[in-house]
Amino acid sequence: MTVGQTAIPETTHLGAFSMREVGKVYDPDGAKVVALDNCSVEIGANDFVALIGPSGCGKSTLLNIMAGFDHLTSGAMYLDGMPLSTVEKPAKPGPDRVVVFQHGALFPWMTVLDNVTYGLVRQGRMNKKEASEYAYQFLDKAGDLGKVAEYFPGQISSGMQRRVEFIRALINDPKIMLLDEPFRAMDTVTKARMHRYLLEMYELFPKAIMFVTHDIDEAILLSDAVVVMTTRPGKIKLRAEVNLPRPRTQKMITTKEFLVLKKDMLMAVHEEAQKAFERGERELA
Amino acid sequence: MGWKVHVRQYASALIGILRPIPPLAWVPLAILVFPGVEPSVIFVTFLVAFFATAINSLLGVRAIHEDYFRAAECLGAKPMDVLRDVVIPGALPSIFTGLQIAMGAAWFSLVAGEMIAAQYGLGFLIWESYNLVQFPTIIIGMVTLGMVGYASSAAIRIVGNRLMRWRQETIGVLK
Repeated sequence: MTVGQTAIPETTHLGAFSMREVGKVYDPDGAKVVALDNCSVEIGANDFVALIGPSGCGKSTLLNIMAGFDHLTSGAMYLDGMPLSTVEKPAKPGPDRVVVFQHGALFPWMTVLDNVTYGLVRQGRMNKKEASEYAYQFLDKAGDLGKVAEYFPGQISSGMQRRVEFIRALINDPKIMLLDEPFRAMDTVTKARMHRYLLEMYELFPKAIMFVTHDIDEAILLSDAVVVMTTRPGKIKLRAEVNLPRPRTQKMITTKEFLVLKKDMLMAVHEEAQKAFERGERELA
Repeated sequence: MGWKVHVRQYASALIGILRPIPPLAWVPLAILVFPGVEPSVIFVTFLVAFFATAINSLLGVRAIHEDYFRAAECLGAKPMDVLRDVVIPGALPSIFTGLQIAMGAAWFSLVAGEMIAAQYGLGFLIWESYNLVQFPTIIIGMVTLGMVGYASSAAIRIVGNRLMRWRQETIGVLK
């Protein structure tokens, strides 16, 4: 992206992400807690992949390693064919892999506009004025959000905040978006509206997405593939492709294909959840 | 100070030992070390104010949710950006709480210091009037203290509101 260019580009990064035999051991010299064991996941260009599993299975650890907040202890991760994170050279957080956090992390002391332009300005890609113009275009395209640009995050609804946070991530044109249970704390109705919104955004700005959740309906409805993790030590239990047509709608939740997928997922997840329950482990996540 | 782990550990230890020493216990040492009485009273007042502010700032930084640091890093912020855009604005409410407490404590130790050592000042005036049994002057001294104390708190509040417009507009505090 060149400085001064304010039109929203038609084609964006084609993020292809590859995770190969990734393992994570906490405290390798002492208690040796295995959080992740031999996890391999492929996320193709503009693929929407959901990661589900029981609480404490290491979903968040996996996402944190991808984001560069945590380090892997075996295996490697690649982004666009280049090594992203290895044992010797762990990844640092960066704008090519923007995270949307579970509890929301818009800076409450900045206006919506300053939040959205933050990445572009701090990376030195645009000056403040160019970034603002660009952000207004983005906000307006993303569901008429330009009208709240001057507000502080605390003055708008939680659903609106979450939408702004998506925009704050998307505007950086990341290679992959990492969504860490972004709708966890929402009520059913708000959640359904957010699903619709995220699907619209995905049609508008296709991106590789890694979506961590433990809501099976949500996982199937949104994604191209669902990856189920086992209980700790976290391994990949199965990967199911979701062949529902896009654009997706809420109504698809009741179609036969959906329900067949859901049944397989439910059995896989419940089996793991039962194991975790019987061991009586405290949640890690 | 609260941000970098090593600095935080050293700072906490140092403050942990120095802070419990009551301000008045500093006065004799200060008088011996500093030339004259006025600088030592100023020193003690400063010291008290400093601890109250420093501890609150430290706790304020520690209370900032980790996700804000992570979000800033994700968006490409460098360490100095994190300091300016996350650490300082995030800790500002606590810093200003600290300043309010510091202002109260500063008046307290100023008056106490003046009563013990000074030749002028409001504390000295009140003590002197006590010795001379001048009731009205004592009361005038106290009321004056109340008024300047209120004024100084209000000044801090106004500055704080200016700097934290987002807090006023979102949760309506500090009005």
